Amino acid sequence: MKQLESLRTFLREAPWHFWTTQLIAVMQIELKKNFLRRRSIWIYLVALAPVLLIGAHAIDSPMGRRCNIEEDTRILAGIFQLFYLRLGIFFGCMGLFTWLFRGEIVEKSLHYYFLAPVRRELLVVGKYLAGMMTAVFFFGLSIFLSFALMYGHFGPAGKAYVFSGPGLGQLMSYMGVTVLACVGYGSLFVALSLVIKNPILPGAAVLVWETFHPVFPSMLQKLSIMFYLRQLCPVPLQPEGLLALFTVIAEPVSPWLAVPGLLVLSTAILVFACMRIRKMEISYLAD
Amino acid sequence: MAVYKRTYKTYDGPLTPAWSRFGVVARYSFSTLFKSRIFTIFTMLCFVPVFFAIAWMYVIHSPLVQQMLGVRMGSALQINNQWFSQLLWAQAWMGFMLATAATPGMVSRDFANHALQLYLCRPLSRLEYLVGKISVIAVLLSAVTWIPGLLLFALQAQLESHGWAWDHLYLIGSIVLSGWLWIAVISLLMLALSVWVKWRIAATGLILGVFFLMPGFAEAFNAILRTKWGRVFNLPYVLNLIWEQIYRVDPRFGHINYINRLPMWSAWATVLTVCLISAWLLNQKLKAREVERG
Amino acid sequence: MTTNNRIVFENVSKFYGEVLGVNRVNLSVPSGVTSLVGPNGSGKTTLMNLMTGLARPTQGSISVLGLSVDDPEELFRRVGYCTQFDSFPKGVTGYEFVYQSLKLRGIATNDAHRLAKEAIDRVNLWEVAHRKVAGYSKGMRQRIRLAQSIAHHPTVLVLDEPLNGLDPMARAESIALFEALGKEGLHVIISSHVLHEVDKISDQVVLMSYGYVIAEGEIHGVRNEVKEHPMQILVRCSQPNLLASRLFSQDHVVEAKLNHDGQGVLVRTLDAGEFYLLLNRVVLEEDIALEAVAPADDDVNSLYQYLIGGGGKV
Ligand SMILES: Nc1ncnc2c1ncn2[C@@H]1O[C@H](COP(=O)(O)OP(=O)(O)O)[C@@H](O)[C@H]1O
Ligand SMILES: [Mg+2]
Repeated sequence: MKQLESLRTFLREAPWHFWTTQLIAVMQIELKKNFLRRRSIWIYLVALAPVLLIGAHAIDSPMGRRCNIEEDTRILAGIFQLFYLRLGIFFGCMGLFTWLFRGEIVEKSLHYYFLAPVRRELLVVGKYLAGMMTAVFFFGLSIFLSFALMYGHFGPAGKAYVFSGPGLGQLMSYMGVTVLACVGYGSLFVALSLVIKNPILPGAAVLVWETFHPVFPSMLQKLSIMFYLRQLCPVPLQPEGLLALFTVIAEPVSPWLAVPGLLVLSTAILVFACMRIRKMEISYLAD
Repeated sequence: MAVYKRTYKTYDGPLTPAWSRFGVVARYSFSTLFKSRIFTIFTMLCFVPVFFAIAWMYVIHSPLVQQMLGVRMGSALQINNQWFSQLLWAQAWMGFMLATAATPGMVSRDFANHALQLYLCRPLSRLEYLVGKISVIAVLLSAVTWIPGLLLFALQAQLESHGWAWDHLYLIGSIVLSGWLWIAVISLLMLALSVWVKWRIAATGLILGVFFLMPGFAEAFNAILRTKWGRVFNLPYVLNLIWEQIYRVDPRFGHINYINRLPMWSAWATVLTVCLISAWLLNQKLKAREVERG
Repeated sequence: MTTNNRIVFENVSKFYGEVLGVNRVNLSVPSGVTSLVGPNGSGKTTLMNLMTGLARPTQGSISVLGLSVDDPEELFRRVGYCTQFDSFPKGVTGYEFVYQSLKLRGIATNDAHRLAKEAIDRVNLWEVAHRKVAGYSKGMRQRIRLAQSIAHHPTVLVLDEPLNGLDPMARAESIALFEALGKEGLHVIISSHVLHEVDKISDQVVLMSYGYVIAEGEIHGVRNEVKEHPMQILVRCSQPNLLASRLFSQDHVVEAKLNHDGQGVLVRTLDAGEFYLLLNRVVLEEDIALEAVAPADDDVNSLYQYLIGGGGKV
């Protein structure tokens, strides 16, 4: 009871306005870095590669002369699940979010943040939000463009599919899943980068885990981000060959559970990251 | 200054032979690597499949043990070229992970601490530096791929007799060749990527990207454009093709989809291109340049 | 004397794994200019990192003006720290660098611009403020970092080797700036590995060596303490007891004790020259057979020489 009371006082008296100002300052600096630096070019490439492919396809078969909507819908679903979700967004988030802190350590500039009157937790949140905005922007844009090109090149038929058929709903789902994926993987990699010097190797382990989690007991499956995301994808994939392993859902979970489940998981990981950063010391030894 | 007053002398004692100097680079890289306990443990783990393979061999050849375990092994479980191919393929990926953990750090440390300049201003050429680094990867990969492969072959020949070894003699060549093909591709590519981006984390990410993200892109390419040629971007696939050819695995029983596979020439061409691009990158980027303002 | 306007170290130790950073440091630093002086690796940077929370003590506690170092929000409104890392966020200009850090402090745009200009003016870099930091010379980089650390008007200013890489002009200007800031009532803490470089402006100095604080206080006191630091001399001879008793009656001999193996006398003296003369006399008079005479603590002496002497060397 007493703790609750002190929490209430804290929430009431906390300098929210001041924190917001600082949060915005952190995000401005980080966003500028994420978008404008020459080194960020890889994320443009990773995110927009499928758009190029679909663009080529649209030119190759104008007005859907050499393909049909059902097939292309299936292909888009496959690309979304196999390329975007499992690889593109995963690697994109891995690069973006581990670099948030590791990059500052490599470039020996993290102490400027630590010497500012900014709570370190606020720093984690600010950087995380900036990373989120970047990732969501790139991958959201990429999926939107892919979608538009895919159905656009069918002409009126595509238009009908999108606006009078299931198309628009699918796009919304894709977007939603993308945002959730960034939320989940983002928190995971921020936390990893605060714990381990080279977070990419454990990152690879995570990739293996995320790929093979369906073969584990359902209790463990819930600790995987892909577990929640797969359930939210709008177009189911035909399981074939090795893919069967990745596409069969052992125990379906309703979106009403999947979304909050994922958010809870990510928040827990972020809280852990905040705890880690409080204990962090600056020592830029070559690693 | 009068000559008799000059007491300073340059070193003129014995020198180690020039050809062996690359070994210095290799030696120090090794000692740094194995200072990490995780890396050492991981290296140990890479031998686990080999021990399982040995155990398997014994079980297959010992009716007594089979009886004790209460199993009967049919002839379907023969140890043949396919068995070796798959075992060494698994080992190759173990080696891949070892190399991924080792290479970027090995190079980035030299860049970060400005050691490269020091190396190269001594009588140590860029090539010798590279040979030193490559030899580290080569030793690591050899130790987990073709060397255990040959030992297993010898063991199998011993246990099987009846001319098995004679019939499968080509496997010696396959094991060694596949091992060195893997070493060549992995060491050149990883070193090139590490030298190119210079930062350990970024280099590790890039290596994983080339081996896992690019195949995803390749498959997307195939699906959207209804072709099979996207696979030339799929390095693991291409290497697997070559691997099975080296081991003379019947394409119908290999674990690559039999239909729609790339022709062999394109696989070899891809690998060759990758090696050439890596070599070019190394030549471009491995330079002791530094801009330091005082 | 409250601790609310002092920087207090209480029995602070910091180990980096096995390596000693600093050991059992007890300090209480008042306002004015304080210099941390010691050779490379003596723990100056470690001490500064500890008081700014960049490193955490293995043991002991630290408070800065009564604030805990774990509370960055309060602490860094009062503290500016110019580290020894010669690195910057990528791609910034000098002005952006200072301005950004002010924004990060939650200072409103107009004020941030004003304070940034003021700070850059103070270190004489306004002409080049809008050039990229990557193109600065070492001295310019040093000064822009100084500007960044003073821009928000801190009450505690911690500067790690701020004179490194500066030319004599800039050095004189910086020293004048530190002195002025000290006079304004700031805590200015400067580290240096040469005492004479900072002693003129220092109100107090802290001498460090191998992670220990070996002398601390007002500059003249420390100087005298060091000058009066007794020298230890080990005399190996045939009749140590007799020698000891003869030596003990002299003023300049602080201590004369039998060496632990009973074969010599360990003498601590304030005046080595006088001591050697005396030794000659006693040896002749008492017919003592001398084996060896040698200073017993060369290390400490040379360290003090290094810290205090070496007037012209840098
Ligand atoms: N991050 C670190 N890791 C390990 N040892 C360190 C680290 N930082 C400093 N040290 C060690 O602590 C000791 C004191 O170093 P430092 O405080 O940097 O000395 P100074 O600044 O006086 O030159 C040195 O022996 C140094 O090697
Ligand atoms: Mg220092």
